[in-house]
Amino acid sequence: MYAEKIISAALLAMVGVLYPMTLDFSDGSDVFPKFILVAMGILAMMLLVLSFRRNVPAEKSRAVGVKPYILLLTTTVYIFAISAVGFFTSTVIFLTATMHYLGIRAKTSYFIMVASLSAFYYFIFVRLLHVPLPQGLFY
Amino acid sequence: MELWLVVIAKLLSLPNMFVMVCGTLVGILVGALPGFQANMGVALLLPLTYAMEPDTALIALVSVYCSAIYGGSITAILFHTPGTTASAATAIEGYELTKQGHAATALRLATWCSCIGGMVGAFLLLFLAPPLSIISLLFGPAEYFWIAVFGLITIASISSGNLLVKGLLAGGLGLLFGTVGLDMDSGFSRYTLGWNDLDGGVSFVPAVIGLFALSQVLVMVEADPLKKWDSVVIQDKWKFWPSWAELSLVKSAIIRSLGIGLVIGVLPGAGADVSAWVCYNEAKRSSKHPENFGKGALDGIAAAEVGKNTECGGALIPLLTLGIPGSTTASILLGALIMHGLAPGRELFTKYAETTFTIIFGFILANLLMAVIGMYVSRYVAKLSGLNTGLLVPIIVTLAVVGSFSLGNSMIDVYTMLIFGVLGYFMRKYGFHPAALVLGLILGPMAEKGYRQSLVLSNDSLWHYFVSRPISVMIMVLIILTLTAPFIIEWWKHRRKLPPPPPIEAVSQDIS
Repeated sequence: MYAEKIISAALLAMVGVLYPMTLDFSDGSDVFPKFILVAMGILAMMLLVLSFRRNVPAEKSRAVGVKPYILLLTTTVYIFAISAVGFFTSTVIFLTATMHYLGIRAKTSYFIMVASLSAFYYFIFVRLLHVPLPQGLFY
Repeated sequence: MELWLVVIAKLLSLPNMFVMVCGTLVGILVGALPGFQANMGVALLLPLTYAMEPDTALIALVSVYCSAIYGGSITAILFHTPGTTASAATAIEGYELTKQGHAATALRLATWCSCIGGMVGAFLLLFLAPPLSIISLLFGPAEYFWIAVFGLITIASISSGNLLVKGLLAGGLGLLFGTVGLDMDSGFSRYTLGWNDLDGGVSFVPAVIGLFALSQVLVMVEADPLKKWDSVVIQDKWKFWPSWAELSLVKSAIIRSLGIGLVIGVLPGAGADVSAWVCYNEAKRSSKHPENFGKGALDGIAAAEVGKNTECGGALIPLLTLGIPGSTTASILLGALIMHGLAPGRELFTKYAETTFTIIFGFILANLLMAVIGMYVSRYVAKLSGLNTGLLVPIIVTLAVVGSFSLGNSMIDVYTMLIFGVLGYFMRKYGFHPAALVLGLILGPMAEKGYRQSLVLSNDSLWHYFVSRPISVMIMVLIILTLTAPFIIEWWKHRRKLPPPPPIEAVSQDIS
């Protein structure tokens, strides 16, 4: 219930920020965004009202822990590191770190995963599809 | 005749057959692994097909599509863990049969019923799509505007469960993202915040990879990453073909589900899981022995499998004729069509007839191959218990990153994938379905173009213009019915004092 209130408020704030921007749009290009924003504003208000009216006790949220957020953080660092240190270097580090964090302990798993995925990405994307994967400090 | 000879020759070419076999195998594995969905598999494969010929690329993708929808049934039957949400109904009956020592029977029936449903759906696509594409010539801006609105409302109502407003908000967000970039008429830059990279709008494929693949990975790690399945021993004798006795037991369920699956497939936005559940519930309602349902009813398995795989072919009909995807995976296929320079509509069946019919015949053959490969692979799926989340997660993330990058050789697409992945995760946590956002992203530009062209053609009497066109009026009526149907059904149930339906269990909330 609290989540829905917060989301409704956030959506209304978003509409409040984006709608004034449409006033600077050229004639014709402003029609559709304005229509969508007004509709979203009305829907967000409806969600807010419904969240107050629904007398359902707040659900006990599933204990998800921090794992998704840690993974999100490591993924973000990985993506930004690609431009700095190169795709393959950052991918090897990411694979190793993520597997370790998620509880994989067998050394052979690390070796097989890193070697096979790196080879797959190299042969399929670099050699076959000619995708210039970012090269950084190392490779 | 010459066209068919060319089509057969192209279909049987080495590249096409190779990608069909690989796509079928990959699709079955993708579908069988819980956490993977058909839409995720197709989205991750999409960048790999960029360098292929259009027919080869689309054959690979449709092979993955239909096989992944089937593949979820394998783990549903063996481990009561649907690989895809479309197999949740099969899990109910299939796992009961496994507990009774009849896993082989359940797998055999599920495989061949999927094949029957898939092939009938594919043949209906072959025979219905070309004449229906002629109707697309009657569609003008008004019709495209309303069909886009209809598609959005359908997916919003289906994906949002009891709270339609959340589905509509998700769809609205997708529409808003669709406005980012240079305006089609004036060239004015909307919501780009001064970044030239956004002038072309939000990249669709990285957004889809983020929404379905990356968000799913984040959902997967919420559970125990080292979870393994208990091994399953298949006790009954393994036979390749179903017996006539088995098929005659379920023939009514099959025939009924073929019709339902096709209708649901054609509806914009509805997916394989909707089709599977509707067919399952209808089989239970019409069964002479409804008390057997929940205890290993063969017609329950047959109905669900036929329904969901017929839906695949049905979903491609509005996609190829009108450019309206019949499911979220079909929406990714729309991205593939556009990526390869194929615009949905009449041209697909005239100017690009060779390519289109090669793809359709490839789809037919893929459904047959799915059954053959499925029968050989399914009993070995138990060995996949060694693959746990700790190994799958890094594979999916790195594949999502490299796939997003390879589309435009730009890190901007990777950042887009990341942003939409985060958005998709939180959307799923709080009951907003990413499928509605994706459809908004696709249909938004179509809806806006239709609306603005209608405004010009109507000389400012827009409403009069809309109601003067019969097809436009028909679609408006359908929209009103879609919006009001849940309330009418609830009122009717309340009036008849019917008991509420039992809760539907699902592994995740995705719509395939």
